Amino acid sequence: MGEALVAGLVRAQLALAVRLSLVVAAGLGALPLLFAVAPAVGQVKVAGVNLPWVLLGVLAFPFLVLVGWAYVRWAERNEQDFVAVIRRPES
Amino acid sequence: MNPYVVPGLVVVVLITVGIGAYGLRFARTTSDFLVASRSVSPAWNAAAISGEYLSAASFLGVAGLVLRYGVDVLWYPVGFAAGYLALLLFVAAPLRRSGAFTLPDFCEVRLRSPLLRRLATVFVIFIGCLYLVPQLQGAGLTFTTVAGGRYEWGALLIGAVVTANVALGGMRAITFVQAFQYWLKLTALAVPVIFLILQWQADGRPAVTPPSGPVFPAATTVVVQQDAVLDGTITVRAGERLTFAEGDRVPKVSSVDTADGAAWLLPGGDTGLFATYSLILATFLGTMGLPHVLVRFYTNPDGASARRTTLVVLALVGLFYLLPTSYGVLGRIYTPQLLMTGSTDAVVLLLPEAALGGGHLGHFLGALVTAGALAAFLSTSSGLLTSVAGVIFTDVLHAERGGSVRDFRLATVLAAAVPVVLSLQVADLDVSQVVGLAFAVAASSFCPLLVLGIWWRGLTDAGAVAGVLTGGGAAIMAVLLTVLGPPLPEWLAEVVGQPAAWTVPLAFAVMISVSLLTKRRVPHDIGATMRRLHTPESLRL
Repeated sequence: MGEALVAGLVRAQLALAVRLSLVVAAGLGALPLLFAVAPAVGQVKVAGVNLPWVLLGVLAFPFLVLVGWAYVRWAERNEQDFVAVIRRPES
Repeated sequence: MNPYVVPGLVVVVLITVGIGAYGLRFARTTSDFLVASRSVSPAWNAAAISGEYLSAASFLGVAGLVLRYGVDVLWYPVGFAAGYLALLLFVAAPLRRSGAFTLPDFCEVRLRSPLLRRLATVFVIFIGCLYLVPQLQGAGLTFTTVAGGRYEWGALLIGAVVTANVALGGMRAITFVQAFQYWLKLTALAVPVIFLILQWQADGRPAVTPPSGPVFPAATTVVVQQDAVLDGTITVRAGERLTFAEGDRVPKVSSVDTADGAAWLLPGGDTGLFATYSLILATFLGTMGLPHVLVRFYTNPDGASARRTTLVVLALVGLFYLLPTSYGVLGRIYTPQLLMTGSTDAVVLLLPEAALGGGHLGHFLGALVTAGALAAFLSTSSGLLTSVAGVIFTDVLHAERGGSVRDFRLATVLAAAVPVVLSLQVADLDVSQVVGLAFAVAASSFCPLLVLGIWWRGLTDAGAVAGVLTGGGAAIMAVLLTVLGPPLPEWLAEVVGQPAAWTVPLAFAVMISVSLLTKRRVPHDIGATMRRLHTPESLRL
């Protein structure tokens, strides 16, 4: 197995993980700042419940699972691509 | 007293010991005891990891915090769940592929440094104890709340059951026990919540935040816990009994810190942005550094299944965290006296009977949540004890993989002794605060070590030691100062009480810069190690 190929796989997996953590940082991490900058957001009601309760109490969890699911899918695809390159007969 | 509680608790303990004894039939070698011979299926494993993870802080503490402080503390459950996403993205598969048994093992595999290994051992034991003490404490407090028994007996009882179970069955047995306890904990919160919401509907949907503040739903007698001032006017002494009629407004007690009205309902009330982000950082990054969480990943057969197991865990843990919030919210309506006494952690235990009355249904559901709480203490403390005992077994007693089962049992008793004694000494420590500090220490020591060790070829043993010592050391200092130190000025209390926002970046910065300064110390076999961590097992010869 070539050192360069392994380094390429590591880079691809790291880039995927970093991209998805940025998605979480933007989706969840920005919320405290949003609530602080625009307090009116906290007053918005969804089905009689204030929006921050809905976001943090309910929607945060399926969001995290969705990101995790996407990661597993793409990380496995990266590995399959890597295996395909390694196994390709010398030509 | 509720007639169903004692039978419920006895059943949980019997099933725990029973499954433990059943598992004993499979546990023959030391490797069975430590990692269940890596032959546990992903579904069992995921339920077991979740069962182990959902501690007293999750089962009782989250609802108590919501009751007390409102929307701002919802970051705790979100962070506890998101920690598994960070674990999945950065650690799960490579860690499994490293073939390491414990965290100190990982240090050895990646950096070949005995010094770092010893340092990691010290941190595993410290974090393990820091996390074990509040579990035993929670057990003692539940025992007092529900059965009216003495605090010490509750803590000792859980300590003894857990020690016996771990020493006899090790991890093989624990996998089944933990999986059972996940489903028990989920049921114990999910079933009562349905009846509670139906009751709330039947009561004409009383408002959660009435304009005049919380009111008593029924005539209530409250025993004052500490000398305090009510509503800023009436002085009361500890031990005084106050009687309130149905519909009376709940007075604000000066000795109990609570949020009310808009501060409870809307974000950003009393909590500053610094504290919120610090908490987010500690919980998101701390999970991967908890010793009892990591040890579970070695029971997956390969890296890909470690990843899928983590995803299932994320879903199971997320499902559980949908529930405690409702208890905290309904507690505002049905158990407002807890806002006066300050024992808000008891809300999950008291709510069913308070809302549904003292009939069979209320008693039965009350016993169910108590059994769930017991499962929470048992499972988390068993997992912690197994991992701390495993580390003592290999790194302190210096037993090799072939070490005898008797040595493992000795290690278990040693590992249990300190936290049990400590928990008898410190009855008044705040459960969720200590758990939060354990996360902060883990996030500032093992998280940078794992993330840089897995993804960066340039990490050296000197860099790792320096980073763990400064970041983890600073977090430990903050813990000791918060728990034992004198009251601090407000700005400093926030920086020290929620240290992760500065200790985590500090640990990363020190680890990276010292590694860059000691480039010559990068292990010569780094290429082979990286290949082993990141390439699928199917390619191995």
